Amino acid sequence: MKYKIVLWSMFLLTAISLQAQKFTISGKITNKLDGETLFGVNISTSDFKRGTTTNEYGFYTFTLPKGEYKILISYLGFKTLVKEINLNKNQLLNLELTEIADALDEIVLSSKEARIRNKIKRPQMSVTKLSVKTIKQAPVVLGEVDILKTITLLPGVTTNGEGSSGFNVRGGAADQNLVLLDEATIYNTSHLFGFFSVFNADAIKDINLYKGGIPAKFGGRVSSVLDVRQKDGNTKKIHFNGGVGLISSRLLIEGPLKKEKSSFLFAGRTSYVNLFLKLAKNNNRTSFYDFNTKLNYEINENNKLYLSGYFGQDDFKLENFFENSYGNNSFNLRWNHLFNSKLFSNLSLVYSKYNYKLTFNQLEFKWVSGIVDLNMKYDFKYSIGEKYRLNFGINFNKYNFNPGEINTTSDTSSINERKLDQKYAYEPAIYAELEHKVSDKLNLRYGLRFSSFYRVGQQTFQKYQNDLAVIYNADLDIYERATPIGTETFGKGKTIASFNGLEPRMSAAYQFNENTSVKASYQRVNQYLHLISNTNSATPLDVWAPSGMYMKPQKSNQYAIGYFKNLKGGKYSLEIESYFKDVSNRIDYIDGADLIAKNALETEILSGESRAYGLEFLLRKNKGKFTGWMSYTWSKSEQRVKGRTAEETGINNGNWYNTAYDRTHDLSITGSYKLTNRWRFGANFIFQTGRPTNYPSGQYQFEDTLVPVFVTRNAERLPAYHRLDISASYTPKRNKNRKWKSEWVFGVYNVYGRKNAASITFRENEDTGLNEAVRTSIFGFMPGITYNFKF
Amino acid sequence: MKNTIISLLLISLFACQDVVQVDLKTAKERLVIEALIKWKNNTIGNVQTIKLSNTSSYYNNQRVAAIGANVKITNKTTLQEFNFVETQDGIYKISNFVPILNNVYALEITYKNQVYKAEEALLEAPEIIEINQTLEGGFSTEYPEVNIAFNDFENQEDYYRIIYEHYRPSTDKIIETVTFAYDSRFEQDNQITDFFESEDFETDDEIEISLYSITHRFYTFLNVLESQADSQPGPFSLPPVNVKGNCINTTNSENYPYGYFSLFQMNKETYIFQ
Repeated sequence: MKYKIVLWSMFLLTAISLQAQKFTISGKITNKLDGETLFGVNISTSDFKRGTTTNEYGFYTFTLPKGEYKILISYLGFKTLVKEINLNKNQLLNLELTEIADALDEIVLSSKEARIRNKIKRPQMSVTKLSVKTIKQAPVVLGEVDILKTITLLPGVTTNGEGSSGFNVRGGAADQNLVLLDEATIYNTSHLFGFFSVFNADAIKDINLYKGGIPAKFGGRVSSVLDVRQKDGNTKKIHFNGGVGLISSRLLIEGPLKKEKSSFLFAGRTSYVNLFLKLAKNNNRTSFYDFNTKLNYEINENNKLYLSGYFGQDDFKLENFFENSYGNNSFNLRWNHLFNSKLFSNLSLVYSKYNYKLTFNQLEFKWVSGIVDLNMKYDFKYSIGEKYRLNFGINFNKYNFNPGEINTTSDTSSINERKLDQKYAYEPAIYAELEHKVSDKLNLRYGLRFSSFYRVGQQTFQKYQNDLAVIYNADLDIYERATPIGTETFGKGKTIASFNGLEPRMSAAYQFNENTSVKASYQRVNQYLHLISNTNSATPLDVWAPSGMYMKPQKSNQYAIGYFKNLKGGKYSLEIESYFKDVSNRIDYIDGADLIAKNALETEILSGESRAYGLEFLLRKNKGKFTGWMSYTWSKSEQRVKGRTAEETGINNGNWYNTAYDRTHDLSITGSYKLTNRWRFGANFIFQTGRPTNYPSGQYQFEDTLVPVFVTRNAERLPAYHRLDISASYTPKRNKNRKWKSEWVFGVYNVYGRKNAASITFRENEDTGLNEAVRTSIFGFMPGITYNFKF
Repeated sequence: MKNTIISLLLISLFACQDVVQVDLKTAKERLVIEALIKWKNNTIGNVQTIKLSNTSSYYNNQRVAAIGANVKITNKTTLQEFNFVETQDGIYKISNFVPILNNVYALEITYKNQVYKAEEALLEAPEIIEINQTLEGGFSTEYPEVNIAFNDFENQEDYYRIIYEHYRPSTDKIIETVTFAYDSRFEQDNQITDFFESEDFETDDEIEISLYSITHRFYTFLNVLESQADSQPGPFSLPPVNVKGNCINTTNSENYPYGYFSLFQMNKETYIFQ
């Protein structure tokens, strides 16, 4: 670490000393139509030799030697702007780009090239940026546009099947993804137990998914960062848009509060599955809604405030038996401040909350659990001359976990009211990262994040003999919970356990020529939170638990290399990446673990490790009437829990076994074809190795119960998963004077109606008395229709 | 159970099920021990049965009896030995067993030259203090339920097993048997109530309720066994495990058996539905 600090200081000094006769242009780039700031706009000299991009707030800073330049400002889907400047002093240059009706037409050639070249050059790898436009073009189930479903079409990203929450990146678990909505952490990404995601695409500007080479700015989750940004709101005029679908309807309103200075955005979405249930005389109820809001206010050229909020909720009722609701809420205040043309800062104060409630009417009690996360981030971007850009900042999280609280709902209930121990923790972190242009060919980014985690009281812990909360019974070869030998109480605010982690991050890009580069990256990430779940996929009932006395932080290393090439002048682009990832202290559960409403979770878990490796191909066609991509991933994801002593066997005899999200082959092809200005067609094809599962390898009877015998873990596989989806969107002809624009989207999910197995279970047939295998498949042939409008 | 219900609902909304052909491997044959010694209240508990069988391939629905074993239980306090006699294939019986509360008993089985052993104490059962029938309670207000109450043992972690057997004397048929393992964690030291709801109750039907205490290990065993036997489809299902009981093979630990040895006092009451 010392070495690195010295190195940085040297770079800083050299950089500063070389600054003579250089000037900086800086400013904001926005969409001319609605005033939205644009993230990732390329600003380069006409020879593409020097360039920069706008940050997530649309701000850029570009330093060049004194002189006259032709500057190209290009962005996917926008007309390239050419600006001639005579650079003899630092200048403020705010620019507006004009959207072109069809982003994929030939006229955007230069913009494409610049964008693609820039991608070749930058050290960042393993990242995918998708605009909402792209996401909206992909066919989706029941016509519900879904960000999470679309990212699973990318290499290295899978889900645990239809109707299961979360997503898996490069063989990682769903709880290893950091999902940020306007910088606020979202703890549960699904509505309706995983059928739909919590993101309302109308309110979203763009998403970035980091599968590796995660910038030092991010931390806390070992697998990926999904950075979702909400739109800021139209600063020019009031604008409405919305849609009516089969499952839900949406409405968004945005507009200026003070023209070109400040704006607002409100977007809401609500489902009406309940109507169908009522019609079908079904007494169950299920519904969800979400509400996105954003306000922004430009105080002056150098200061801007953003206020964003997200409120989402799911409600579910099973007849008279129980009611269930869960939801995320987040609230975020940000302050962009420009110290000078080279130093940009953003301060974020974020409140985010996930809560879960289950009411058992007949048993007369309710169960409440949740997590509250207060987060402060202060990020700086400092542009040091032409060659260096320094990103640094601090981050502080304060967590309050409520693992569960039982309240009775009547006086006659026999349930004891009880509150599981509240858990408190702090997670501070600092980071610094330098983007370094070594030569025209070599670009580096290297940095360090230092994170800590403090688990604090007040809390009482159980103590065990030799600190072993799980004991191994050698005679029976089973793990059992230990009997506590006493307790230890930590007072309020007193540190129970603390952890520190140095997290180096490094990326390099070497460019062979304008169209070809190789990249490599290494990252170390620590994760201090664990999702306690032993079901096949994450569920809303799962509880987050912090590291502490008995649970160590997960630590992960990831190494990745990649080859990037543009073909036929950028018409096609090819990305090939390979990675290896290991995670230590990954928790696993003893056989028969009981995780519900437990204070002492440590008696149910063992600590293990996981590893994943793979090869990813992504071929994109970027131009023409037909666009789209083909992605293929070959990968392996395994975990292992070895015995703690030579005598213990561990889980699965201490051998590696497939994680539930291991997929050997994963192929996705997605395409969009623009036939005319009115008609556009889209299609997806997905082929995947079946999910690892368990099949019985025998049976016996115990007290008249037929018991299947399972010996190994995840050694079998469901049949391969594949399906084809198609969509067509039609834009009716409209009167030029009318502001109303509409669009019909017709879609069919799973065109050939394949019964993809979500699971295969085994049972005794009640009529024949014979044992049989039963396949459950979720979405068969599913047509959908959506009507979208804007005015 | 919550998970199961949620998955069931979702599946009823969007999913479909069909029977498919899946080729299965068959693991090595193992001995299955069903040695549950039940001492019913107000009886002497002298007649007891132990069932021995072997595992077989999953699609074979026949119980494969384990024939020719020597089965013996020893009271570790009184050192009295109880030898079981094979009366039918794989069914071993005794008629002079002596149950004593809280005494520890040892089971020893010799089968195909392998010795299997287990040890457990005979547990006391709580008394059923109330039985009544209602309509408003239960999961649904449309169907009646039979409610029971008993007192949780004080100052200890308790696990119970409750069995409801719904019998119709008019047709001499058992309509339904519901068994489950109960964890009294949330009702520590309280009076515990439970119910059995059915749409098939008729006047004069007999509902026999059996209640006994079980150990935590047996509770876990039964729960895992139940979730495994009744595996519900869907993403919320628990990963299946190799369910090992409390019996070991002392000749060769690789040949571990399945099943369980347990002894309990059992309180049984019969309620006549009105």
